[in-house]
Amino acid sequence: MMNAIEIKNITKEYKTFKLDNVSFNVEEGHIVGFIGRNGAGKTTTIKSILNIVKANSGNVKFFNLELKDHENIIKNQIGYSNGTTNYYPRKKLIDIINVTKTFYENWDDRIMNEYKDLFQLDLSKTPSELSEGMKVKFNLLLALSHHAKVLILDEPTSGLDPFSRDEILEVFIELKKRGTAILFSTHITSDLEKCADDIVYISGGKIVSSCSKEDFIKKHKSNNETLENIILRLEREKHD
Amino acid sequence: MINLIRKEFKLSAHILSYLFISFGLMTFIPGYPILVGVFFSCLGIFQSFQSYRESNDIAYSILLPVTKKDIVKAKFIFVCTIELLTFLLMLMITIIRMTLLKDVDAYVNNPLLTANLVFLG
Repeated sequence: MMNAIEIKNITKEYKTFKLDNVSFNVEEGHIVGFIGRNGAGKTTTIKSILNIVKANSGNVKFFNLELKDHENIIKNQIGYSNGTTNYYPRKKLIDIINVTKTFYENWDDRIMNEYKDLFQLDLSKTPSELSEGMKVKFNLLLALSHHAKVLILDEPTSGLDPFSRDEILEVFIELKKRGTAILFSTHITSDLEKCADDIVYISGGKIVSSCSKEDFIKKHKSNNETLENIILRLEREKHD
Repeated sequence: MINLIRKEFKLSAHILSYLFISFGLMTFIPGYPILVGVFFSCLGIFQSFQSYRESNDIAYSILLPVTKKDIVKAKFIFVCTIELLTFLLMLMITIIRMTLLKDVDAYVNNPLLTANLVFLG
């Protein structure tokens, strides 16, 4: 199967933190869960993948195209959400949508309305009037409404109630059936158990493991551990 | 690119940026206040930039399928347009003062600054 995203040897150095030679692939039609504790480098990796922060070295390919040379084309075909809606707190959601949709060639109002109903968003409100969970949902709505082939979502389920989380994971599974690749970061292991095909586990800026969920469990399991216990144990071992 | 410029005007700009263009009308006032119009135009732009920071405009812009370079370019074009509009308004008033209103008392006995081509730079 073709790779939707190929990430090779991304290194990004900060004074107190280093993202060290991060490499992994996201296959087409796969859901990849990107897991790690707070400060492990999940968001930095995602921002480097999208050229939001400039990596010191390494390269990223989407659909076999170099990101550096084809940024506009690639970004038109991917959806990105960085968790909560932290911008334009006093503009109406509908105004933000009307401006955003002019940027996407494939924007689909029908899909947008479907998600609006599913998420029960009132578009005449402003982001400052929304609860934290609704802000996450609005950001997802923007990322999902333009037939993106790849979705890169930074903690799309944090701050959501269990019902909404379940709904969103269902949406992911539905999108996967239509061939969309999804890379989402999370620190909630039950999300992975429910819908991830592959797991990329990052710790201290280094990729510890990048393989299918079954292989991950097989490789690291001892006794009758659940996925959550495996990851907790791995983190604990690191600190001992 | 045109999308980004439209976004600057429709979503990002602060209302005062537009309102303060009208302070170019101060060019009608005899004496030094003709310079204050320019100051207000700059203040309007300053307000827009304050509001970019307040509303996290950059966080929004990077979600869009555009390059970082274009984001800066669009803001630059926005600033140029606001300044140019103010300048055009002041140019028109200066021409009126130099032609139709050139014999008006208040402008004839005008110590300090007067609106002429030198004033426009």
